[in-house]
Amino acid sequence: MSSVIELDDVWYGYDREKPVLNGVSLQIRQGEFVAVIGGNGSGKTTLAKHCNGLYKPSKGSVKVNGCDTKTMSTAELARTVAYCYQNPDHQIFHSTIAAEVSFGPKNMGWPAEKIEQAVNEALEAVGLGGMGEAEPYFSSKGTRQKIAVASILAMKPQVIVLDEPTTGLDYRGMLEMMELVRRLHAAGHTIIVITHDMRLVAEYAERVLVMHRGSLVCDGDPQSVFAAPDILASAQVEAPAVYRFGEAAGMKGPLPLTLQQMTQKIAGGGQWR
Amino acid sequence: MIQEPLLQLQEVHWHYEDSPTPALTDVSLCLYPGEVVGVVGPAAAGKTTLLLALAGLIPANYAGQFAGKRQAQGQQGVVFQDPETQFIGLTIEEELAFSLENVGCSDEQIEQRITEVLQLVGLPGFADRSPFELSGGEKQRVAIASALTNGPQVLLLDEPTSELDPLGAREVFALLQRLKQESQMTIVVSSHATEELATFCDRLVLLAKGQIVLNLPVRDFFARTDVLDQHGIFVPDVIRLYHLLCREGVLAETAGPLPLTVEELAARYREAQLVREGSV
Amino acid sequence: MAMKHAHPSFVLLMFLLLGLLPFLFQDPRALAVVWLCNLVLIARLGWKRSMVKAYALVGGVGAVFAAITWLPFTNVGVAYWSGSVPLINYPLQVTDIGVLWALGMGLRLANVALLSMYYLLSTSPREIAMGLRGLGVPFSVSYLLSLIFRFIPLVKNDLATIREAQMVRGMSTVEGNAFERIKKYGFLLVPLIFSSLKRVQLIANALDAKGFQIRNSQHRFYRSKRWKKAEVVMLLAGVCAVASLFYIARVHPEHIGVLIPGRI
Repeated sequence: MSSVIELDDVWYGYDREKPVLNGVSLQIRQGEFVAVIGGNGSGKTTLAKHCNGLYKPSKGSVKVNGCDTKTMSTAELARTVAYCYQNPDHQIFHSTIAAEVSFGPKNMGWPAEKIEQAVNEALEAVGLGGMGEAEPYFSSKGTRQKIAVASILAMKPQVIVLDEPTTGLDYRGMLEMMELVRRLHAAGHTIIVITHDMRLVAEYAERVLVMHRGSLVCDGDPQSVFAAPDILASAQVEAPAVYRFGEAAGMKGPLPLTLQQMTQKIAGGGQWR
Repeated sequence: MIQEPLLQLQEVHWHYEDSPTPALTDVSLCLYPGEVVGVVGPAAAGKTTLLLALAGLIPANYAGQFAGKRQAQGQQGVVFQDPETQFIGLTIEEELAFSLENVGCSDEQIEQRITEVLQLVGLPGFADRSPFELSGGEKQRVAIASALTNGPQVLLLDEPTSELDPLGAREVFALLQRLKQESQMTIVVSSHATEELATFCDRLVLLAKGQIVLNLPVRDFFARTDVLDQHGIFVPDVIRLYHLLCREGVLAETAGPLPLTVEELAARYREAQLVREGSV
Repeated sequence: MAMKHAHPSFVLLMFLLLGLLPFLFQDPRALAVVWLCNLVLIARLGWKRSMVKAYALVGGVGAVFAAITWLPFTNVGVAYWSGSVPLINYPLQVTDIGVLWALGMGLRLANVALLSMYYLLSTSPREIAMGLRGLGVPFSVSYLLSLIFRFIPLVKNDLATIREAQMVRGMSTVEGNAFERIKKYGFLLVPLIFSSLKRVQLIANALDAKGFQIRNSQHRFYRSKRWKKAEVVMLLAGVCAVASLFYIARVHPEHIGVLIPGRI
């Protein structure tokens, strides 16, 4: 698998005394599902915004598909790396959903038929197929969030960065959003999710990047992160309840991360105690 | 002993002016001194509307049709979801002084109250700072302090942690726990974080499409997983694990009350293990 | 800054008096003196570099614009040039008095911009509210006015986030000709207006939850300041000074003051 985003010793900061990112190096490969976690001021959002060129490093380099982000504008990079904001109300301004979703492709300068096709595919993918003529502002938060995702999907990006996509959603909304993200991953997109929901990380992520005070302190699968209490403490989070119960109950073997895994382990019989 | 409710809604109906459907239908709720009540419900169920009605802000600040009765004794303090927009002042001192200025308290009274309330929320000496430079959890604690300045009997919180990171959410709930233990204050919290509410509330209310579906003490509430699933409410993993372990015969339902935390579940589990080992 | 310890109404009244001065005189020489005195005063009180830059832009551009618009429409005095607006034949001329008048208007604008910018940028919304209250403006009115300033930083933050959110969808505010770029800024306005409107309802709720009332006779400010003797004396001296300057400029304007009697 080739690396689609590469950070090489990236430093970033407004204040030389307190850099926001200090010497971060990592590679994200095509098709990965990566979660980025970290406490307040850990630099996780700044890290994600380097991936699409919104921020350029003060030292070191960020390469997207081999091209240095310093040589490209955010608008150019938007074709490859899409960034979906937490609050959909910060971007919606058209009077129909279809017009809203077509904003990105129009900025790319695509011909009209290509735009129409991209918009329809994006709306289908998020579950809003056929709702192109509906009005975006007064719909529910979940719908507005889907419109925001469709808007960036329509630009057919390779990588999708989601900034706390489940904040403010109820449980059903959260499930719908994450199932959508899973489908996008299955369809071949590389996914980077900034989140503080460890249950989400346990359920969906393959790889976890833990940021603390501007440094990358851990880069591994969810199992290894949950098994390290000091790493969790630095990210100001707790392991999911299922995992903590497995620990407290003294379970043998790899501890289950999700309810489904726990059910399989217990109901599957055999020696788990 | 029959207690008088501090705050009561009786058969309240509310219809926002521009909305095709009513926001609250036949809602009756009594809040007694010292209770802690949680309100859960899917998005757009009317949780915020319910809290605004409890605070009396509906119908006062909104256009629409109101039917039913609201009775309140004493004052209510309200904490809203967005940590920043609810701040009136540019310094914490200005913010906390605001509600006391509106009732004409003297400078000494205001100064004393500000110090007391900052101590209560765990931010002593923060009076000169700007609320905007604080972390999310600190901001909401200042908002709680601001709601407490004129000594309300009821504290209403509308999804106070939904925009916070986990650390901030823990700070807020730890403060609410302290308030619960140290004062006779009635607290009503609406939230999606059912795991937090489970350990904090005495009673939980399920609101769906503007109607109260369940209104039960906490363990009885979470025993109704069928209803909770039907309305898309997140049932804490601990409770689902408990049901799983009961189904598999590892735990016996009759051996104790519904566990609400990992620690409680683990303790039940270890007890059951000892019993099994004892009987082998 | 000394202003912090003064009574807010005193500060407000002094700025209002200073603001009256540019309207007493029409002669640009007098106005230039007034403007320079105000500049010295503000510099002594202390202003930040960012405000200097902002003033140079607003005051400078505004003053030049005011001067240019007044120049061809003054028809008193000896004309250097005359012409008319095509199609409607409205007469235009540049006269000697017209030049002085235009310079005067430019200086007036520069003056008012200087005083109002300095006052609004260095006085907290609470002090503005206290200042207005001291003048007898009802508390709720003065408070609501001051709230506008309180929310400017939040709106600025929103604007920055909205701009970023549009940039990641391929919109660039630096490419394209001037017209296109203006249109792009228009795209930022709609989400900004919507989020600000939502805020207004939330703010109203927060105010009410904290006991704000439109007619509130009980309200008193925490740590409100008392009028000092020195302030009262200075205020009265200021009023006398302005009155005497009015007399010199308008009632007996032989040396300085009026160029065109009948205009303000």
